[in-house]
Amino acid sequence: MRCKKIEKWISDKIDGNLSQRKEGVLGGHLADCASCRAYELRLEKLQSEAKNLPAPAVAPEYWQKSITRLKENLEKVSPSEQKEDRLRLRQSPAFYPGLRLAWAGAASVLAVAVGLYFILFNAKAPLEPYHFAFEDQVNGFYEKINNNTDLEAEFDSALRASIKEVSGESDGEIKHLLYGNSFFLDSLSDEEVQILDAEIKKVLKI
Amino acid sequence: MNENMQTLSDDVLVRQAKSGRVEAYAELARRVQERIYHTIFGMTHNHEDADDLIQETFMYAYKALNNFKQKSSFYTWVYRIAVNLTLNFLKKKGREKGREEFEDNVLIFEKAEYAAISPEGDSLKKELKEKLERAIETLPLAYKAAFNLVVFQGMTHGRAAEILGCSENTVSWRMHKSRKMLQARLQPYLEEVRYEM
Repeated sequence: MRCKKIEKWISDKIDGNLSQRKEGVLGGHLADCASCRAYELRLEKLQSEAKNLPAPAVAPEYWQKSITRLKENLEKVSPSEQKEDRLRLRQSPAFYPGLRLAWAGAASVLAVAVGLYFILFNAKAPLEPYHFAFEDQVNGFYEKINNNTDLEAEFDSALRASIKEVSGESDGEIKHLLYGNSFFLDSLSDEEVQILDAEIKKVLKI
Repeated sequence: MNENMQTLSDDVLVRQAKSGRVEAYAELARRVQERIYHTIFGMTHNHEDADDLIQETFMYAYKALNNFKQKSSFYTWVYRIAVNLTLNFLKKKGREKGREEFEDNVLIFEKAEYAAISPEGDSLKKELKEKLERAIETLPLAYKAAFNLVVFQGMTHGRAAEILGCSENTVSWRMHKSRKMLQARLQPYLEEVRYEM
């Protein structure tokens, strides 16, 4: 059992999200691995310190004032305004709609990388049941290859290069797209999801 | 606040609010505002911003209320709006000042540069708190949101996933990466912990 995988399990355990079976395996590994025991202790201390951080000090009267202010604002909203906003809800502007193509390009690379995984490791089954979610696929794939630093670095580099080529975005923005834009997938239409899905299926021949 | 309102269930209040009853909606907001404020504050670290965002959240939710199908609780639904609006706000304001400090750690943790610090003396604990607050503040947004919900709000990965609109596995992965980043940044302090080798 490689320590990289164990580190994730330690994190899951702290959150009460580790199965009994894995807890057993984890316990066995920790008994033999001083480095992972030290890591676990550091995370436990981190968790404890984070939980003890003071909550923001808010004056008791703030809550009532906030509701009063809200009510004043609500009185100004007309029923027709409610309908207009309802229509806009699914089109929040911060979902980077212009960069969808970039992700479509990235999907091709992902597909190649996933294909590579199957070739390298003679895997026989798809990574996940095939209800497509791009970010989940990326994360799932990283999880599968996290014992292989070279492959992980290669995949990461290919994914970034692909997004850069299609979008022309800066390196910083690409990193942000990859790691900071958790709601991107929500903005995809069914049609766009189908395109991404088809792209990956094509390479995987499934 | 109308006392009768306080005895009504969320579902009843939602129905009344949908028909335009402001008092019913205000009661719903009153019930969840504190938890939502703390989550927003945990991401913005600024009272004025949190104050504006909580108003924006409730106004947004009110205007979109007819779109709320009550498949989840009102709390979960509003929570999700709050997290989305806060993330959007932070992106627009470019407040991810420390993002660059962490980005290279996201996948290649071995390259993490430890802060040049020597944690000694009585101020260690205080210093750790300050460093920890700063480190959490500079996590990439998606990670910060997950960390906030799971650690500070005590949510399960499943619940956080529902609010963040992703899978449990993604939340689990983000928590793992967040902790890797934080412990790399704070290692000199955390290594004060003694353990048997």
